[in-house]
Amino acid sequence: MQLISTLLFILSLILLAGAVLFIRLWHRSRKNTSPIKLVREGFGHIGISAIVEYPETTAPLLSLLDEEYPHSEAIIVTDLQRNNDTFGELVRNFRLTKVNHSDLKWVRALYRSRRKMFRRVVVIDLPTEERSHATAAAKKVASFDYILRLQGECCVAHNALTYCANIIALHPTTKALKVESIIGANARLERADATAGRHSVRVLSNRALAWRKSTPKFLILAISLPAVIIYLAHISGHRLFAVSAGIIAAILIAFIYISCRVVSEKAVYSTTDTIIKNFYRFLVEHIKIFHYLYKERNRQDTPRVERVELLNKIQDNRE
Amino acid sequence: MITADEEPTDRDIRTLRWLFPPGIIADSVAFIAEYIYGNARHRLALIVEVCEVNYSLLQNTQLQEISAFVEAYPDRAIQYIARIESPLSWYEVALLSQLMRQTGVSIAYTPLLKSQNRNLQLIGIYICVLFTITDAEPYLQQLVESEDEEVAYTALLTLCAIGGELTSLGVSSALSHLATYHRTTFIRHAVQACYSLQSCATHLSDEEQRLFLQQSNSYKCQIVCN
Repeated sequence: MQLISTLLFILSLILLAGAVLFIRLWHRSRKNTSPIKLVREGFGHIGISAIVEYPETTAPLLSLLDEEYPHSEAIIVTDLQRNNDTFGELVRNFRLTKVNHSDLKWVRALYRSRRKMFRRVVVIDLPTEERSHATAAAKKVASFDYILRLQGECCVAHNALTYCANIIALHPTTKALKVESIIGANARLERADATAGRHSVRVLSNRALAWRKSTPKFLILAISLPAVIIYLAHISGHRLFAVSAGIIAAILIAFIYISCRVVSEKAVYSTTDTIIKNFYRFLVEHIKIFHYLYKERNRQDTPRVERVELLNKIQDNRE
Repeated sequence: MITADEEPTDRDIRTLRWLFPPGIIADSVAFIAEYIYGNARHRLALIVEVCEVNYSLLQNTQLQEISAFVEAYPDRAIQYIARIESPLSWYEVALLSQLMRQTGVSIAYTPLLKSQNRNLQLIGIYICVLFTITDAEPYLQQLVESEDEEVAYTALLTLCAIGGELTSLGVSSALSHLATYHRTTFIRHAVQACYSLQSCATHLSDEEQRLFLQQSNSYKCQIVCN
């Protein structure tokens, strides 16, 4: 038991050192990823259609309506017969108009908004059995060139579409583009009908493009795990074991909290479906960021060597 | 040689020109920007202008430097942008236009569209699409035939956005050079701008015409007559 306690204590110290280093690098990465200066007025021909497939609540749609980017629309694919209580109300409240859908297979009805205050809201009534055709139907109906697919109960963060449009505008319009947010939950942006020649752009972002609401029970589970460790350490009677277990538990809680806050700007528990998966994604994504920043720093360092030699050459000429 | 940690005066600049040949000054501009003048990089642009240095040296300059100059000297921003040889992206064009308008400078779009400079043309096109300037149609019809892909493509989509004539030879030629997904994009923009199929049927294949009809029908209500 003494040996186990000692090993556990050493492990906890190593973990603590690693955690401190990780947090330092994380702070540095937040400083070095220069935030893009947002252009909010629109880019003319760059528009984004956000597709939400079979949500259970209207939360994703409401988050999209908060979006300020002018060339954007929200396409909700749902089965109105089964969700008439939730989405039937939506059709009435937003004054959606039934439009022609004869060219769309399997689609029961198509509704579009005609009121400017709701910008563009499109509802596709597609039976749940034809769920596999949801994306294809939504792409045919989409008014804009870029599709942002949100899965399930994913809500879009504030100004996420503006941010995506700015990223797209940074690259030549003659190239097809797929944008993946490095830190983001279940948000994937791609061109509506790009086939060959598609390339992906990694977006360094310390803000999430989307987040999904989760119930607090997973937070309780995540906190209870370190609590169990501490309790076991207490009843074991070994002080060293207790201290080590306490350090490990504290590191776990701190990282889980940080990962939740990073992924979601709204609330601690509003993250992906499991806290552990979120924590894993947080670690992996930050390792990728650190690697990218390390490569960038090495690339920027190289010209400075040449410039120092240039200064010497100028001074020699002067002499 | 200026080594003080302060901005160069006009006398310093004249001294530089007298002491060193243009090639040496050109090479040292980037070094000065990086090491000596720190954040006062807008002043660097004046040095570059006085010493007649090729602006292509500033290709690696961050957008922040260009923005700093535009914010500091908005009335000379257009001349500065005209001398940048590296192609600006659509985002940079939008940002610089936004900065210029925020400083209160009025931008005339006609000289920009008539200019031979690619970056200035893009700024002119951006202003046209932002304010839906229908009077710019003749200039856009010319820009649609531009050799620069990006200028031609954005001019074509802007022509759609302002409701311009799509039956011209220039538009036909521009469309014929586009890739398939860009043609689909054009169809989507034309449908959104409420064009009828007849206005651009001559440029589209049968499949594309079917797609056009399908898209435009999805905006129309079903009318049932009793």
